[in-house]
Amino acid sequence: MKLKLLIIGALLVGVHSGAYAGKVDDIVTAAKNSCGKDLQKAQAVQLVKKMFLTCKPGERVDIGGCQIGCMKSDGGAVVGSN
Amino acid sequence: MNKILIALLALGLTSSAFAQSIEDRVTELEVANQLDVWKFSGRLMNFYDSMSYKTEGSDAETGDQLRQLLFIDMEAKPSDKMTFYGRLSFAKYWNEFSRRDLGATINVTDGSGNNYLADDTYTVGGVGDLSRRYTTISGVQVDKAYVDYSITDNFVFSIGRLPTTEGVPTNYYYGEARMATYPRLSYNSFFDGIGLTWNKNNHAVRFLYTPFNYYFGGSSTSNQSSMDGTKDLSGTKEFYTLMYEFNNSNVSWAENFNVSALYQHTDIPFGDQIVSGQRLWSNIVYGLRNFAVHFEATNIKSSGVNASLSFLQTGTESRGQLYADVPDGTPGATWGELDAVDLAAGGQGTFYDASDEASVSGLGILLAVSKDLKKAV
Repeated sequence: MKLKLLIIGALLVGVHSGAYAGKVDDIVTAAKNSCGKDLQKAQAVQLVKKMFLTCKPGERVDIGGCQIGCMKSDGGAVVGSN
Repeated sequence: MNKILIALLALGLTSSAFAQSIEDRVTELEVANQLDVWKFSGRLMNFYDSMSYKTEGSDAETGDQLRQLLFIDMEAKPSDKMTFYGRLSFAKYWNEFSRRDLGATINVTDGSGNNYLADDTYTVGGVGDLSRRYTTISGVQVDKAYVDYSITDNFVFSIGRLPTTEGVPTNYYYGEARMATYPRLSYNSFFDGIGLTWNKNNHAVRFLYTPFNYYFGGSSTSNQSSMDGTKDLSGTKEFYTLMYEFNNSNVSWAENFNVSALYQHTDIPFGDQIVSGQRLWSNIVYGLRNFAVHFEATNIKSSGVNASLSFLQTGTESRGQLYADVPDGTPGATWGELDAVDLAAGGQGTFYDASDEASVSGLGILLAVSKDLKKAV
């Protein structure tokens, strides 16, 4: 019984961590998926403003030889595109 | 030795207190992250317009003016399935010396025969009050306020004031990303309504229902009543849009390639008319059909050039009748097809009937190209 609870607890922790992956993780994942680029979290932190604030939705942003899609929301420009 | 022990103990306590503090702070951030579902952003734009206006047979007139446009955008995501989007806008001329007349045309002749640029009808496309109107009055309007609700992974239900104005290519001269659902040429008005969208990979099919509320007031020239005298004060008149859209952001020659096609349909009623004191009952409707096809490519060949091309085929038709119940010899009896013979046949005439159904069609093309100066030359 204790073992089951432990497993369930471990799974919940795992799900919880994934569900709250932050903006930095998003950038690291996008760089990896788009260009196979391994980005350090410290580097990704420096890109948060560029990727989530100053870029235009839909455009590709250059992050040093690798282009990934702007992560800023389009603000609901198109009905039902959520 | 005692001093060393005390120092180590103090260090331990400090570390513990600090760790506790960090944990509390992280917890607070997590709580705030879940509770604070609102995000705000905005944009302020100021414009200088140099204008030249010329009609055939007259001299060109020139003028300039200054305008400002403020957007305050809101977004809230209270759950994984639901997102609210809103935009408040403020569109105004700078410091108007005197208020311009509402509803006047852009070129007005005063009593002395002088022409001047006038009024608050400087709109960004669209139709009258449904368009963005730059005014001399300070006021905020709601451009959009709607909710997207994901029924399944592919189906999204939407309701509220929808983003149906200032579509591509309006965003080109704002330097913005795409701002609305419809291409500007097809329709460019603020619409409230309901939408159902099916999304699958690069494809989307969208149905929008944006009905008009009609209120027939008691004016002397335009109201609505049945022939038995019962007032018909209001009703909703349907406006449907069926839209297909294809987006591809993986093409080698552009950042994004978009193709969309849409069909729009509405029937707008024509109110009763009073002619020389006599009522003409109306069941006439104006039908509007729009069919639009739109192509757009952004950041072509990484040059920063965006281009869009829209085609619009539009058709209007009038259907129905105007009825009159007037004695022979009244002024209205000489108007249209209603004559003394009609009236003598039963005292009720058809002024305008289905045989006079009329239709008008037209074709519009809008080509727009812009260059983002931040991108490579």
